[in-house]
Amino acid sequence: MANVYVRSAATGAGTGADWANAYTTLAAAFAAKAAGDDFWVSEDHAETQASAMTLTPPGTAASPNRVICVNHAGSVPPVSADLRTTATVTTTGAFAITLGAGYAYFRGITLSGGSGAVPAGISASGDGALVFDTCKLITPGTTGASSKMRLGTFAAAQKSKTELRNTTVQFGATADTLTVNGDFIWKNTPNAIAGATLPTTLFTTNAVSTSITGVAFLEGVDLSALASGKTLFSSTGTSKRYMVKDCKLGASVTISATITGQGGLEVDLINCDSGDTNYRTERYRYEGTQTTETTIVRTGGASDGTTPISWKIVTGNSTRYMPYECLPITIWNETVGNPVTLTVEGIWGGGAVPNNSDIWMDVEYLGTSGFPLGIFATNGPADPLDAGSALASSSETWGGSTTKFKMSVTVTPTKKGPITIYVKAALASSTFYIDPKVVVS
Amino acid sequence: MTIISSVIADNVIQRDGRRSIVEHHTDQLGIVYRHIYLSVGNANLNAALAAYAAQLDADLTNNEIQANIGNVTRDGSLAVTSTIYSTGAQNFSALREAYRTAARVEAIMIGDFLSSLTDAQLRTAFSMTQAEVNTLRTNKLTPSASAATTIRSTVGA
Repeated sequence: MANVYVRSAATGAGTGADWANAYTTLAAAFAAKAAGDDFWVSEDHAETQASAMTLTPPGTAASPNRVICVNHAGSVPPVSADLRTTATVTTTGAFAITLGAGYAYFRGITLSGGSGAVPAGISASGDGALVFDTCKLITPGTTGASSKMRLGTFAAAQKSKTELRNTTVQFGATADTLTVNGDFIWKNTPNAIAGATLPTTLFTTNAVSTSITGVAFLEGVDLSALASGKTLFSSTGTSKRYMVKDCKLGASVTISATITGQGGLEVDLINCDSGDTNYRTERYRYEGTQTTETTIVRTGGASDGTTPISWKIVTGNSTRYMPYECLPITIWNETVGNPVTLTVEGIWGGGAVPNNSDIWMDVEYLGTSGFPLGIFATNGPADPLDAGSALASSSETWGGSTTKFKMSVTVTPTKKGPITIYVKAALASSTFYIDPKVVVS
Repeated sequence: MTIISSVIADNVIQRDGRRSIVEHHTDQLGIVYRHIYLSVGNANLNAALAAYAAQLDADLTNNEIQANIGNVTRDGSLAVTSTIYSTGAQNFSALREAYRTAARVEAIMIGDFLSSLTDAQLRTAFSMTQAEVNTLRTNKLTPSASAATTIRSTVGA
């Protein structure tokens, strides 16, 4: 592993052997060096070119590179006290920055792709893994473009992982979007959307090139700059699942655009809000949407300790055979060898109590011996052609809506462990409220 | 106009003063799109309804164009495209931009599709003269059509 020095102001031999003879561009340094090398980028590095730039780290999966901004007047090789965040790598005009296939960790570096009335931006592509720590990714061009910032491979039969840690994104046009392919992780980033120009929709799939499926996970990211009139997630023809946990949202922001089919865009929101709450949990699917309700709630039902809650399920295109499935409810079970009855209370405005083909629950429990194979039980229809029957009515007290009902399943666990309840809503264009506090008897 | 009606179907005030809003937007085919969000207490719900209808309109158009381009880059002149929510001109314009940066098989397939257009359509899509269209056909589109034919007929051993 060699130490390679990069500083745009260097005037020496350009070998990268020390600060005096540093490479003046990151691209030249990458091209000349090898997997596992450490690239130390000076805090006053300001690399600019008015042509397309391709940065392909030579790192491999087993030997990734480190590309770190440091104080060139500090220790050699640099130490913790030398870390800086001021190096910049910029393309101007209609020219993008492309991060080619490779494996690298970037820290403290600003990448700015394109400028002026252009749609050029930043594209990180190819088979590989890139981590951006305390970086800034900017697409200043004022001509809006879907996927102007594109992270992760967009070629078929490739794998990629992109992680943003304390790394902000910034756009030059409201029509700009961020496309993430493969596995994408974004964590621990205050004020994650920088700048005054805010995209109307933040995440989309690729506009032109192939979009690659994968999972995107956001945790501890402040997205509050995007408020009313903005949408966080959109998708067209590609499967993409976003898991968003403990993030700050903008007031009245739209979480998910209209979802066009099963397996397309999927969004799970876990404890994210614009206000001072700790209970807002939502799930967006083609079949329906689940949000947290604080008014139409069951007396004695689920609560965060202060605010009572229920789950509001609004079905869209659900069917009995492809129903909307709520976030799972998991409880710990200590009973072995004896029946356990699990009851979920609900209410809706559909007149009579719904049938068990309209809404039901599946229960997965540990009912085997010799191995932990889960067993499923249901209060739903016995088979696909079963006409279904009315659920039991309930006498619980709720804060709204009209017709109370309850769903019960009895199981006999053979092991201690978790029991997971999946409430499924099949009746299209309906609104149900259920209490996620399971009654166990 | 793709979205022909928009209504607030559900509006439930929450304990903290915010409102749980469900909007229904219906397009010219009768398809209902639900927009569900949590609104701040003093928000102008009707303005938000209109704004989302406009956004949804644009999204439907863009989604159709993207789907069409995806089909063209895969199937070339055999692509099945639709113009339910977008116009032919919008699609040609987007395809022009896609062709500008396309490479390898995608470039061949887009070229193959463009070769199936009339000269008049190409003149409009590319803002070209007839002479320039002739050159484009000779240098790019006709070779792409031949290459696409070869690709489609190629099978493994």
